[in-house]
Amino acid sequence: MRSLRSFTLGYLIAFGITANAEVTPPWTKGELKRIRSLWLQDLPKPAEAANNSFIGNAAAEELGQKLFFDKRLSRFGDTACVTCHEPEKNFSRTAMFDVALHGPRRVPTLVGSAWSSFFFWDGRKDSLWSQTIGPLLTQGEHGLTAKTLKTALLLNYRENLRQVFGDNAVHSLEKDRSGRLAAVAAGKALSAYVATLKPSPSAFDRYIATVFSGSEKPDDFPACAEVGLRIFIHDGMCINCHNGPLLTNDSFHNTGVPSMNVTDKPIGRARGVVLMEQDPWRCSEDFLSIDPVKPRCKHVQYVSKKGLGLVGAFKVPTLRGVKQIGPYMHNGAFKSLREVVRHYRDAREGPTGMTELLPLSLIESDEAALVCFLETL
Amino acid sequence: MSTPKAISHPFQELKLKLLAQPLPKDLHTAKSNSGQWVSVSYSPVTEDGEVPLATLHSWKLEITPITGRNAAVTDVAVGGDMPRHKHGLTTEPQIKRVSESGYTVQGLKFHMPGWWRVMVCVKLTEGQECVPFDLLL
Repeated sequence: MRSLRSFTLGYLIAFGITANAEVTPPWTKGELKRIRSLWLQDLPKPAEAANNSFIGNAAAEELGQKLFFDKRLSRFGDTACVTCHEPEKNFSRTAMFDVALHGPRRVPTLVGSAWSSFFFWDGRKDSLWSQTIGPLLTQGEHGLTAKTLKTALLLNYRENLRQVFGDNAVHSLEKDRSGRLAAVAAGKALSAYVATLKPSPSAFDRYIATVFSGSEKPDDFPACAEVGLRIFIHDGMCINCHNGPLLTNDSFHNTGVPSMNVTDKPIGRARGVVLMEQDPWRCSEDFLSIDPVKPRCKHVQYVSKKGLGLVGAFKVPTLRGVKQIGPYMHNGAFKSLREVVRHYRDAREGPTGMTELLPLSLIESDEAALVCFLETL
Repeated sequence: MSTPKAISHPFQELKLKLLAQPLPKDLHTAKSNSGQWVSVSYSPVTEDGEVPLATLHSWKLEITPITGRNAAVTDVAVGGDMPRHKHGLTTEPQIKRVSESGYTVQGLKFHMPGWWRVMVCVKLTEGQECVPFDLLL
């Protein structure tokens, strides 16, 4: 069967059009359906809203924003969430972070994270609010304990806490000697703030709008990006995992990413599901004195917890803003998008001896087109 | 210009064989005469009645022992995989009986586009049968 790429090339030659021209074959009905499914404007409400009733609460968002930038919420007064999640770098950072017992890990972007169900590269947290507690209470990051977090919150944010959670909640938080409720309050507020970090429409979204309106294509979506989009939804098979408005299926896959060093353990989701069940702030735990709405946790209720497919599987990240957030993969194995594309082209088995990938028949111009498309996201 | 890399690993050869399987033509949502024991139909519980991609949702099942068979349904199990990829659902669906012949399957999530095969396995007082349903997402 003739490949789509050779068809495209034939079309371009037949009509005397070069690769730099702005005309490519019209999209078929099936292709349009796929492209439409990637449009940011169809983003549903955040998944986190099912776990945190303070999503969309202005006072909680304001408190969460203050906490996010506050270095007093750290053992030595030198670390805030913003230390690693830098706004000017799409709430990520380029430097790698060495996580004890896990190895080097790239700092994921927080933009769009409230639409996710599981957090960290192995999904060991099952809500965004619970995820935010993790770094606060980890040595080598914020380095607090639940008790010192409680002290810092009450010392600096007592009135904010009252405003968001009410007098009774603050009273319960004060009486709780373990500090667990203080961690829940901090997590719920931080999560409310992070949920406001929604991706902005990209050149790709503007392009989709023109596809469906028939208006002129945007200048920032070049012809090479259109060719790259075809590869993305066809021969490249990228859309298999990078689908939906955030370009992620919110799942876990083993793509054979090489380990960076001996500490870089390729266990991934297989350990994540175990840690998730042991987490003291897991979704199924009720903290009704802080959040009176019982979390639904449906995503946890049905999740698969066993099978070889979990070994070496890491979370599929959003591709929104991907140009800004290298190095790439969970452990920063690749410095550039071109290197990432070549890894997918070759489909080598990684440190587990397996990969879900199939080798791709991409030539250099395909790789360049794919990168060109990714840079518009 | 680079050329595609040679495929050297047995896993890759296996995967290419899987990928070469032809897509199914029978996409019916009701199968009344494919097996010996039961007829089964499904309908997604979604706003548009379509099976959604990468979204947790439910199905309604109707399971009826074939006329003339003196057997009652005692257990139902549902699983799904992608025949071309050899991996399956990332969820473990749960089944509840809601009427004499009606069941709900909760916790289905098809996280990749492509060919999915959902198996509805029914155990009866006499015999058992698995009914396959193919979907193209």
